[in-house]
Amino acid sequence: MIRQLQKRFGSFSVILCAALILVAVFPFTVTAAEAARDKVRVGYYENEVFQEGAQEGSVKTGYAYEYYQKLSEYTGWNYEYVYGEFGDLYQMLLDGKIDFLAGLAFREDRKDLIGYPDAAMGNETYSLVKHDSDSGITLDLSTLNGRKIGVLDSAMVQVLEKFLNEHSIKADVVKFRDYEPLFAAFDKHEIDILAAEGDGAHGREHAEPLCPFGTSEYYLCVSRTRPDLMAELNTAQSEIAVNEPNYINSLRNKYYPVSISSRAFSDAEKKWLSQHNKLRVGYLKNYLPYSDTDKSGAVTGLVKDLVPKMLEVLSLKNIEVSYTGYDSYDDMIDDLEKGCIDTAFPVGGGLYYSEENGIFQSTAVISASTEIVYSGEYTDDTTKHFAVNENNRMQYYFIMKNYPDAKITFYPSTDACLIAVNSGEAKCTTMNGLRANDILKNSRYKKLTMLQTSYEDGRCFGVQNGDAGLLRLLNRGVSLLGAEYPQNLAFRYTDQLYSYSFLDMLRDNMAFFGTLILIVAAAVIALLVRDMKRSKREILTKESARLELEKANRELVEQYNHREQQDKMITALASDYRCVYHIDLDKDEAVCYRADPADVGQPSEGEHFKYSEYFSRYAENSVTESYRADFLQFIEPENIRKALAENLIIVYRYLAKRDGKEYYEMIRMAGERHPEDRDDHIVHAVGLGLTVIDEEMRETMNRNRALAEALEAAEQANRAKTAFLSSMSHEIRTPMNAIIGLNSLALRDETLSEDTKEYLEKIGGSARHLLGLINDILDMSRIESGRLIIRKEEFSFSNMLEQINNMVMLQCNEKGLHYECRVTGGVSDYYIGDDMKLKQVIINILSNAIKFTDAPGDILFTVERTALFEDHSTIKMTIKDTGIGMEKDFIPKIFDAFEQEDSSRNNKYGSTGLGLAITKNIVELMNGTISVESEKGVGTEFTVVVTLNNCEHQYSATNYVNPKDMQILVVDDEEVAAEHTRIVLDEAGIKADTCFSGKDALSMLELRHAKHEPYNLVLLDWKMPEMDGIDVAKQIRQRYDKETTVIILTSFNWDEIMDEALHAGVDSFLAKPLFASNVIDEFERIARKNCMSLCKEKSHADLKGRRILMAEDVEINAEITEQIIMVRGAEIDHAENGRIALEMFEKSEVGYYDAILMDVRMPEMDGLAATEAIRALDRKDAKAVPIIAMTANAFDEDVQRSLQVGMNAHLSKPVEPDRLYQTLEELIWDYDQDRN
Amino acid sequence: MLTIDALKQFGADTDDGLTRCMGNEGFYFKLIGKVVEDKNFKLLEDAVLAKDLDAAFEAVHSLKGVLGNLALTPVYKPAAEMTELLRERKDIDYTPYLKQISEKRDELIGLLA
Repeated sequence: MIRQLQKRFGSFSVILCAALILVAVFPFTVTAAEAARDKVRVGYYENEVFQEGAQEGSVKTGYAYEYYQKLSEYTGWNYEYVYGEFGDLYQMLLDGKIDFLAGLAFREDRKDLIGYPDAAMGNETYSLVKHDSDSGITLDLSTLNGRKIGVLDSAMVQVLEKFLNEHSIKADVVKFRDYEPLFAAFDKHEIDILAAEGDGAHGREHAEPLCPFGTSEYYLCVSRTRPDLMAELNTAQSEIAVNEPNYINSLRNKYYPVSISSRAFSDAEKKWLSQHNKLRVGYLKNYLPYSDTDKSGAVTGLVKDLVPKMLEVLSLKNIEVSYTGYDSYDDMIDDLEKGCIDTAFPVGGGLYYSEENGIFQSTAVISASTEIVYSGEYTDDTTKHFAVNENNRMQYYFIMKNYPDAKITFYPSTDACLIAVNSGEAKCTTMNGLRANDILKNSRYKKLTMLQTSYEDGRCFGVQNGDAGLLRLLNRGVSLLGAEYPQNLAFRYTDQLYSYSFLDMLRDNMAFFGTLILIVAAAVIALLVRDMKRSKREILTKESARLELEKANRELVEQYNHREQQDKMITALASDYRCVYHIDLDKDEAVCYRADPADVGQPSEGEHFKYSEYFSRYAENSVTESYRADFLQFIEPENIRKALAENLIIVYRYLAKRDGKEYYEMIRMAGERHPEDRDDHIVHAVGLGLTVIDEEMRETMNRNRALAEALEAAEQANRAKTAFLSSMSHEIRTPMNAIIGLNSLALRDETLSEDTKEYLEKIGGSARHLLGLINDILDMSRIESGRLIIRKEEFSFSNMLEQINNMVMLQCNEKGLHYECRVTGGVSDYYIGDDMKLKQVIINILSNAIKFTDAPGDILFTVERTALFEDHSTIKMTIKDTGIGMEKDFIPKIFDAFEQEDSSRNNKYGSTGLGLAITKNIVELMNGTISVESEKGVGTEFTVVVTLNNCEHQYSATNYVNPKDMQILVVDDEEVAAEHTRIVLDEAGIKADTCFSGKDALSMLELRHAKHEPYNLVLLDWKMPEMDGIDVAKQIRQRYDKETTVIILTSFNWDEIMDEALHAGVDSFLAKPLFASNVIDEFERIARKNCMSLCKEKSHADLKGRRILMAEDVEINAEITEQIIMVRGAEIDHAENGRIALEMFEKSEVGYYDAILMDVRMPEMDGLAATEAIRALDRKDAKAVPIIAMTANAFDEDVQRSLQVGMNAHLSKPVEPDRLYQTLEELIWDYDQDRN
Repeated sequence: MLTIDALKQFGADTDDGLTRCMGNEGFYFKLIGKVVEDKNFKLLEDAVLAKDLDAAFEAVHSLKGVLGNLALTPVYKPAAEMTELLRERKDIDYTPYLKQISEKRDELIGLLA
């Protein structure tokens, strides 16, 4: 029986252990590792503070010692300490007799002898320390001349000598092999100055730090014979750096709190010290973490550690500290005024009230924000009524200062205040930020919420008004300790602000224990219930066997105790859940272990019920519709088995509704045992718990929303940046246009002196350079915003190369460089791609090559086709120079924006820093590659590889634009800009007209159209008053269809209007200002792109057999015209005046005449009247027949009038035959189209 | 007998004139023969004497057109200048123009003989 009992009990233990093992996994493995390891040998020498206790059996402390222990946490090392003097130990390290030695500075000559890890174990300030009695040495460093300075024969010697050299001090430097004799020599006054680590005065009363003289890092060095330990050390150090990034700092602060603790005290401080050997400190009770009285009546809190620590850092060892606790702030201040205490802590609430109270406040020891604690919703009314602790005047002062209109009700304690707020008696109370968090963790204040105010309220020491000496000492102490020390210390005491129960711990570690509880709860309860039934029966049967019974009883007691413990634990663990159930999946049976008192519809504790029935009902009643289907799926036994086979715990979160409220809830299940622990690997029973997670879910949702908003803001900012760059570049380019334009106008003055001309040329050069920079920036912003577009157009590769070579050759000649371009086999004349961008890339690289190559040097540009497949060719271009080259290290950075190897070179070579970044981006957009090889002083070689589409259609590149045939109209509201453009075109051999508004442009176009000399190109400024370039373009397209090519010429970034403009009929864009060197190329490119000739050939009709009516009163003129027309095989009927012409037309058959030539000035009826009359006739051809005015009046107003009456064209006399033919052919062709 | 060379000598732009006459010399000479007889020369003189500026403009404008067509530059030039002045109806002394026109016309008539 007993065996049976044990066995059962045993099986229970196994389960429990398995669960608990989870908790213990980490320490367990460490122990195992330690046991398996040999000891490592550490050289341990005595050094104050750094490494103390250097003999067998003595207590070890110090910076290094603590560091060894930290390392052991990460490595599992066990140490064997080898004691000795530093020098001997160093030798042992060299010989491999010890493994580690700490505190060595890095020295070049040592690095091959001993191993230095990657990271230092610490760093230190070196200080010079003098005897305080030695008034001959001051901060005037010349007083060190001739003095004896003692220093450890270490890396410090070099630092010291450097320092002395820099200050031209000739002192006698005495080297000591060890610390002990060094300190002894100082103490015995054998040396005047001690060169020490840290402040050096530590524990040496008559030492006074003089000044720091350098810093150094020191290492934990490893014997060369132990590379394995070195590797472990490096790993451990980087792990420490990751896990405890502040570790080295805090260690240093602990052992070397402030490097130069001190200097001499002021007179006031010295006076206070000479009059006092005690410091009486008053403190406020019940004010953790700042201060309190503990159960034994002793002081506790920050004040307890703070005051002695301050005295320690101030090296005031002989001051005796006593404490008096006060329940009331007022009493404490009273006592301070009466002189019963020297200082009070904490005080606060603002300077005004401290002055009112007649006290001085020290610098704040800790500044913490003040929290408003309230219940329910925070509204404007919340801060209208405060509960204030009558014993905490600081709180009262704070509220008086910041909420002067609020109502105040006093309560005897902080807790009373909180209870008042909790119950609604008061609206809110304030709490110090360091206290609030922890106090409110107490479950009785669960309903309270806190809100941080923007007001910081420092907590200070208070001293009597006039006690300046003590105030300064305290201020000095506070600043020496730094802000971190009290802050860290404070957290040690905030725990005590609330009773951290087991329950709380579980709540805090919900996720972990959640898993455990379900496993343990389910398993334990099930077993216990069974065990209980059986064990009772067994006890009865064992009554006869007394001894055994007693033994069994003992075990049972033990078991009951155990069970009681388990019960408590289950209760505790279960508190995480609203309700907990045990489910037998096989039998569809469930039992409730813990019920939610707030949920009436639920089974009561201990009640057995049908699992599927209840939870289906629960889904129907309490799960919102959108989650219901998934919830039902989740609780499906088959699903549970499957999911638990893979996961320890399964969870589903959903929106629940109860009593008309919606809230987020989570259902979790864990198997009673792990499937792998069972023979059949199937889960049979589970623990199921429901938890309200409304707050967490809503928090997460809010956080997600905040993130989405932040993302939106970031995107917005990015858009703003792009818009800014684009508008800035325009803002800069507009005045640049004026500069370049006016400059080129000025240069045309032939009376300029040579000097002025040179200045103007330089202005022009600089302006163009600046424009280049702006264009670079614009390019970069286009690239970044993904707006840089790579065109796919046919272009002449050879033409492109020729242009490049012309330009580069010129620059090379000027600089005295030898340039060669080699094109090797297979490169075709034509490809499809973006020649402008490709040219930009090559010129950029070539310009760099020229820039960074000094004469005499060579630049070689090689082009070759490396591959040909289907309709693609891969072209490799290399640009090699014999320039200054680059360092290897710089090469990876060369394509980054704004990177230059040596920014000082800018002056000499002049550069934007963007060029190569743009180049690389462009090449990548072309799906190409760019690479670079370079050697300093030898040269650089760039290789660009791009793949271009082959071009089937080969054409002659010069087909499109013939400068002589170009008729260009420049439209710009700024006269200077228009004139500049005209001049540039003039230089390129193109004649252009200018006008200054869209309206003027349209009427000029109309005239030229009527004269049959249409402009074949209109360069339109974009931004113009009244009618902008796009409006004008629209009008042009409506009126003249494709007769004219329209180009928008603008200094703006046109990306944004591109679509709109193209839609309006704009053919292309050009950047202002225009340059003569590329204007023809640009026109070529645009013409090619639009697949049309800028000098358009209109369709022509054949004149043969056409019938033409001519009205002409002068016979000779008539004869000439007749002669001209007849040559082309057309028939001509002559009318002597307008009336006769009208009659002849009226009598003719519809469509008989193909055109009418109309003299304007004729007797009886002039040409204008005749035309009006013809057009007014009611016959089909009257409106459409082409009528051409012929007159000697070539004035515009005549042309206008002839157009007004309905003529189609206007030719001036004397007639040019070709002109007449052309006009007739075109107009008749159009008329034919109409008629058919 | 009229020749191209003689016309060139006279100052006519014979290339231009011939182009308009489709290179037909005979046609060109025929038209020149007609133009010197043009009634508008007489009308112009009368109108200027009568200070009838409207009529004078009509006449000179017409002459200008024909003379231009035939590229008889020495006569055309003063006629064209007069046309523009008369277009504005400028009341000035036109006799120097008339004299120039008449002299050149006579010269041309001389060439025709």
